[in-house]
Amino acid sequence: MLGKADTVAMDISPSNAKLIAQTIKTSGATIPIMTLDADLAVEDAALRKTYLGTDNYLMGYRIGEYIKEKKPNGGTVCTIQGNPGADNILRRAHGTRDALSGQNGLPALKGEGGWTEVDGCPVFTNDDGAKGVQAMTDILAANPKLDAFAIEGGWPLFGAPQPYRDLFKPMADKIASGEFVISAADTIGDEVAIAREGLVTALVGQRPFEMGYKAPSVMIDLIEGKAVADPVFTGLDECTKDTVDTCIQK
Amino acid sequence: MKTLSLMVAAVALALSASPALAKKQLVIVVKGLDNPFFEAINQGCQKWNAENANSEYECFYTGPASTSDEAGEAQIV
Repeated sequence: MLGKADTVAMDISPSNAKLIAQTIKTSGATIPIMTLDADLAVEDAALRKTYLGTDNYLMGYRIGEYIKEKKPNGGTVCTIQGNPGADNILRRAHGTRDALSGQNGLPALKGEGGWTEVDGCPVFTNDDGAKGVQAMTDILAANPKLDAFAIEGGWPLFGAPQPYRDLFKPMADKIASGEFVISAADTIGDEVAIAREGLVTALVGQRPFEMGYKAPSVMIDLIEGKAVADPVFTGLDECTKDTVDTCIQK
Repeated sequence: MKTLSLMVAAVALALSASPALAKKQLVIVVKGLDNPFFEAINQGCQKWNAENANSEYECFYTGPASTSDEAGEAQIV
């Protein structure tokens, strides 16, 4: 699309940040290019004019804070992630670890702040919901005393809602009491219904509609040479069982 | 009179057959079209188009069929 005469600006959500950075570089494109929802890696930031989307670090941090609130003394945790090359998901995991550990930028938790990531974690599901549910089934089987899942993208809940419900229905009492915590990203598809059913402790959702609606205006500003903030953040919608009726921005 | 009406008809046909002026495209490339998250982005993009029907610009939404198709996304870009 970069080579097409009609294309006057582009907004990309890279699934593989390095690959897209390389693609932009080799294209020699002169039109404004920005990122949406997922950014390029920090060292490639000069290849795009701005990033429009969620503050992924903050999103992950809030996911961690919901876990910490229920389990202030720490415990064992497993983060469910997407594609190992997806910068947005990696930033969320960074935020979650920082919230839990009280430190900055630890690659894995080994007791810091009382939190330990169990063997086999993080799990990279490549955004596949069914794969995520299967991985959580396996992790729970190997670690029956696990304290929390931090799900950094909502794939298992919106991509495989019934298998997800089947897995966690037997644990509903533990989730209600805060003995077991699931803190998950997004408010897509069945996710809010699952929160209503008490099968997830908290959801930290993004505003994709707002991203798509704002993207054309930001691209036009870039074309016209106007000053554009970098980044441009869209908001978060946070839902628990008690707030499901009011938590999504209308 | 018959000739005139034929001419009018011919002009009308020529006008209707001429393609609408191509708009400048503001392209959004998402990770994959199979994810409802990205469909919500598309809804936002289409709402902008509906509200800016007279703009010289148009929001154009695209991406690979599957979010697991990293190479496909790079190809589209």
